[in-house]
Amino acid sequence: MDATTFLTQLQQQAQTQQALVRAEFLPLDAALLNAKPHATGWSALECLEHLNRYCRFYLPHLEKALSAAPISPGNLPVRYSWIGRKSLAVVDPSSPRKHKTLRHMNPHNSRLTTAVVDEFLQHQDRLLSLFALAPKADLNQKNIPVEFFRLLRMRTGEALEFLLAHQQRHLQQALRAKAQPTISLVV
Amino acid sequence: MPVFPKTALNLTPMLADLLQQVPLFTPDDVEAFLPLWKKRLTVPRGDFLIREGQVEQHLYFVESGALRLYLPTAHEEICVGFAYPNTLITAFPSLVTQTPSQYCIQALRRSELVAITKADFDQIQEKRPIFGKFWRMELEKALVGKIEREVDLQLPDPAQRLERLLRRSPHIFQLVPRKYIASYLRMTPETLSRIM
Repeated sequence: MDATTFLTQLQQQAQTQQALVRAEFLPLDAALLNAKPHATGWSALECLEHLNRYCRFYLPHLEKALSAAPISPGNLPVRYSWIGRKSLAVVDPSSPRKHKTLRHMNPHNSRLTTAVVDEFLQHQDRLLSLFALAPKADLNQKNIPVEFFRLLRMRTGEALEFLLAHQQRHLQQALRAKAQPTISLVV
Repeated sequence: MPVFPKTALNLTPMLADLLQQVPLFTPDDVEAFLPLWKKRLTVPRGDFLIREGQVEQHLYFVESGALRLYLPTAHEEICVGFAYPNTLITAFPSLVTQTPSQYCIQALRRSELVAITKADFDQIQEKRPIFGKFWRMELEKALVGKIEREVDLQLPDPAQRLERLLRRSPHIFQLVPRKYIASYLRMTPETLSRIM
């Protein structure tokens, strides 16, 4: 895929994700957002917090990579590295396979408030602003360290795709987790 | 889309939302019911909705915050239930028997509620039997919960009691401080933190 089409698609995906969180999660109170589907499953807020932790790591690296020395390489095809392909396969939103998360990325049973949603939306603003820089950068440069093994590096383009696919996966999970409001009586 | 009177919807938008989703009710039922929730109150953290010795006259709907229902005894305060947004709460024995309550309802955080009087609620159940059915269904769910809890309390192993609560109501661990959950589970806060 050429870089321009690639970026257009990712930008649309990012906008859709942000709109989804505004519509589906922002208006809800903490009780509904903290509802767990079962004892060990993540609540919607835990899903979003997990994504926030990825944004906190990857966004600064992406910003740095995309704003360093604009080179306008032209509309080259986007290429993938071995680690990029592997990472994308793991987070594939259409795959039902579950994976164990890294301990420091696992927010299970942390006390979360609706501030998590606000933080997520701020990250998305930052992420969307990257698309202004991206057309001038070489998306095939290997300069984004992999979070769990920082000696490995992903290409800039595939790292961006990874971040959005990972978000897509957990936003779907968050939609399943959030409780439908119902009345209950306590006596 | 049914049109609801602006005032009732604006005064109790959360309750209105929930009631519109109850399949039993027609828009007309909801329209008749909402204006009966006349009292709106904010209870600061630590204050009481009802104290021991008062006679309960209201059914409350929680819009925000968290509250606990507890029995004060000489040695400890025994938590018997918690309320949070979208919960209906009342000191039930007192409401039904119109005798002084043995229980207290205290806000664990600043809580906003709306209330309907027992008289108004009884009356609409007479006038519109669907509300009698709604109330019966809520009572059935509450009774099932109480039976579950009765079983919980017979289990000698604290870990088992905790596991059942985690399965039944995982959300309360996000909404209620641990020391009250420990009391609800009839164990010390130390035991709870050891097995959690």
